[in-house]
Amino acid sequence: MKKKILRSLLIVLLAGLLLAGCAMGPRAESTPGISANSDHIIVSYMNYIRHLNPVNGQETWRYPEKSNVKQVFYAPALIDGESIYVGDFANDFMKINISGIPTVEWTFKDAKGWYQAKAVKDGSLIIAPNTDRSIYAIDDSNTLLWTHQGDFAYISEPLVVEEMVIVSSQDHKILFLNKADGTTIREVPMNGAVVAAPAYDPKTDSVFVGSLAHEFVRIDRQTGKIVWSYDGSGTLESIWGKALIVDGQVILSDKAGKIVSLSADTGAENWQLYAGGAMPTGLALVEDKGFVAVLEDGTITFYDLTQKSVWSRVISGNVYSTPVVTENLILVAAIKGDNLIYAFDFQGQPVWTFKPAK
Amino acid sequence: MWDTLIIQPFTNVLLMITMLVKNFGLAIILFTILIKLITFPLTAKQIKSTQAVQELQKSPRYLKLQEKYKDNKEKLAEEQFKLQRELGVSPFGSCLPLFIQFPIIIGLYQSIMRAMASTPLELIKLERIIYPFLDPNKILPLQNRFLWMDLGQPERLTVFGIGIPVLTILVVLTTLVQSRVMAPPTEGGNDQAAAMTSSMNMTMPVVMVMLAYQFSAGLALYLVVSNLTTIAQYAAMGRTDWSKILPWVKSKPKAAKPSIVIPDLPDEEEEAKPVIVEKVSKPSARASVKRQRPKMKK
Repeated sequence: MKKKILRSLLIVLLAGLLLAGCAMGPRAESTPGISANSDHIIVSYMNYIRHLNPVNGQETWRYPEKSNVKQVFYAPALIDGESIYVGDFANDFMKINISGIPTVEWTFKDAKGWYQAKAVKDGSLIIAPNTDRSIYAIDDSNTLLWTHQGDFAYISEPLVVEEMVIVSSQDHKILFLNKADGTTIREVPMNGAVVAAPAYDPKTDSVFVGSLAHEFVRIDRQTGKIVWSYDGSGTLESIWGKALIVDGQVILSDKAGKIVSLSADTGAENWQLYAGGAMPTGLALVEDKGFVAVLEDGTITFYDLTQKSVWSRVISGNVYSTPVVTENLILVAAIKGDNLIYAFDFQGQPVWTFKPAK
Repeated sequence: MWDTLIIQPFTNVLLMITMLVKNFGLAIILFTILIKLITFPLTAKQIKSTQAVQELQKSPRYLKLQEKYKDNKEKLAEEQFKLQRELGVSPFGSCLPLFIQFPIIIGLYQSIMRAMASTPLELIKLERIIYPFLDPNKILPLQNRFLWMDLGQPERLTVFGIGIPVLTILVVLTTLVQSRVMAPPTEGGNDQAAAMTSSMNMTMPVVMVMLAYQFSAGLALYLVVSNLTTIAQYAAMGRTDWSKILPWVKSKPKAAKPSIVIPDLPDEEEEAKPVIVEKVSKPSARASVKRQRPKMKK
C-alpha cells in the first residue's frame, strides 16, 4: 500500500516537474507598454489594459473586466482622442472607445501572430505590425486595406511620412512601403536585424535608425541612400531604442549604456557619455529641457542637451521599456520591482507609483 | 546556475546547429536527436532496471516471500531488500536515470523556447546568452518558418478554411504509440507497475495535447521528434512490442531475454536454478559467486 502511494506520489511529482519546467513563465515574456497624453495613461501589461489617472496614478478602469488567460497585452496602445487602438497576444487588434466605460468598437481578427509593437495612425489609416511577418493596414471602420508580407516578425513601431510607411525589419533592412497599397518602394539593407523603431527628421528629410550590428545610419527618405553611417570606431554596441532628434542633433543610445550625440546633417560626433550600465531601451525627450535615460537596473538620469546630468533616481525593478513623457510627467515602467509604473516630475520628484492590485 | 549550466550551453548548441543547417526547424529536430543520443545510456539503464524490477516482482521467489511474510511487513521488507541486494537489483535503479534526464528534458524545452525569441525582451535575453565566439548578428533573428509552420506560434494547417493542428495530432499519436509499444506485459505477477503504466498512458497524451495545442509549434515539433526517437531507442534495444499497435505482428515470446534470472528459494524442492543472464548493475559478492554464463536460457 505504502509503495503504491509512494509511486503515485512519484508520478504526480514527475508530471508536476515536467509541466512546471515546460510551462515556466508566460507563453511569451515582454515588457509593459505605456502610452500617455495629458488626459490618459494607458498601460498594457499581461492580462489587462489599464487606464490610470495622470494626476494620482489611480486605476480608472481596466479592460477586460475579467481577465482571459489567452488575452495578453504588451503592445503600447495608440491613443487617438477618446479611442485607443491596441493589439494583443491572442492575435486580435481592437479599437476601444474610452470616453466612458471602455467599449470595443471593432476587432480585427485576420492576423495569425501577436501584436507586440504600437500601431500608427495617419488620417483614417491604421498600420499595425504583427509577429506573423505581416504589416496590416486597416481603415477606421475595420476594413483591411492591404497587407505587406515579410520574412520575419515585425516588432517595432512603424513611421508614416507623406506617402510612405517606413518599417524596421529584422530581416536586416529598412522597408519603405507605399502607404496606398503596401507595395515596396524600396528596401535599404542594414548589416544586422533592426528592432529599433525608425526616427524621422523633417529638416533633413531623413530616417535615422540603428541595428543590432553595431551601426547607426541616416537614410535619405527620397532616394533610400545611406547618407552616413556611424559605428563609434567599432565601439558602438547593438541598438534597441529609437533615436531622438532635437536641434539638428541625433541622440542615440546603445545596449551597453553609451549615449552619443551626432550631427544629423553630417554624422559627426558632438559628444558621448557612458550612462553607467546596460540600457536596452531608447531615450525619452523632454521638450526644450533635455532627455531621460533609464538603465536596466532602474537608474533614471535626466540629462540636459549638452550631456550634463541634472538629476538621477533609482527605482526598484528592471526596465526594458523606453520611458514615456507627458506634459508634466516622466513615466517609467519596471518589471520585477515594487511597482509597475513610476511617475516623476521634470525636477525628478516622485509624483506617484502604480502597482496593479492582485 | 540553471541558466549557466543548462540553458546557455543548450541554446548555443541549438544556435550552432541552426547556423550549420540554416534552418531552425531542422535544427530542433537534430538537436533533439542529439540530446536523446547523449542521454541514451541513461535511458538504456532505466529500461533495463525497470524490466529487472518487473521480472523480480513476478518471480516465484518474490511471490513466495510475499506469501511467507504476509503477516510480518517488516520482515517482508527486510527479505525483499536482501533479495534485491543479492541479485543486484535496485528499485531506484529506474528512477535515478529518469531524475537525471529530467533537467535535461526541461532544459531542452526551455532552450528551444529561449531561441524562439518573439519579443524585444526575449531577443535581449537571447543575445546575452550567446557565447562570444558566436556572432549574434549572423544568428539573430532565427527564421521561425519551417514547412507550413511558424515555430513561434501554435501550429495550425489551414485546409478549406479550417485550422487543423497537425503537429498536435502527431504528438498524440506518437505519445500513444510510444506508451503502447513500451508498456510492460500486464499478465501475471504484481500488477502495480501495469496499473501505474496504465494511468501514465492515459494522462500523458492529455498533458501532451495541452502543451502541443497551446504552445508554440517548435515545442510540438520537439515532442514529436522526442517521442519518435524514444520509440527508435526502444526498438534498437529490442524492447518494443509492436504487436500492441500492429495486429499483424506476432507478439514476442515472453521472457525471451530476461534481465535477470532469479534462483528459487534454497529450501524448496526444486534445485536452485541460478543465474544472472545479463548484469543490470553491480551485483553483490554473493550474487557474483552464483553467476554463470547462460547456457540454459535462450
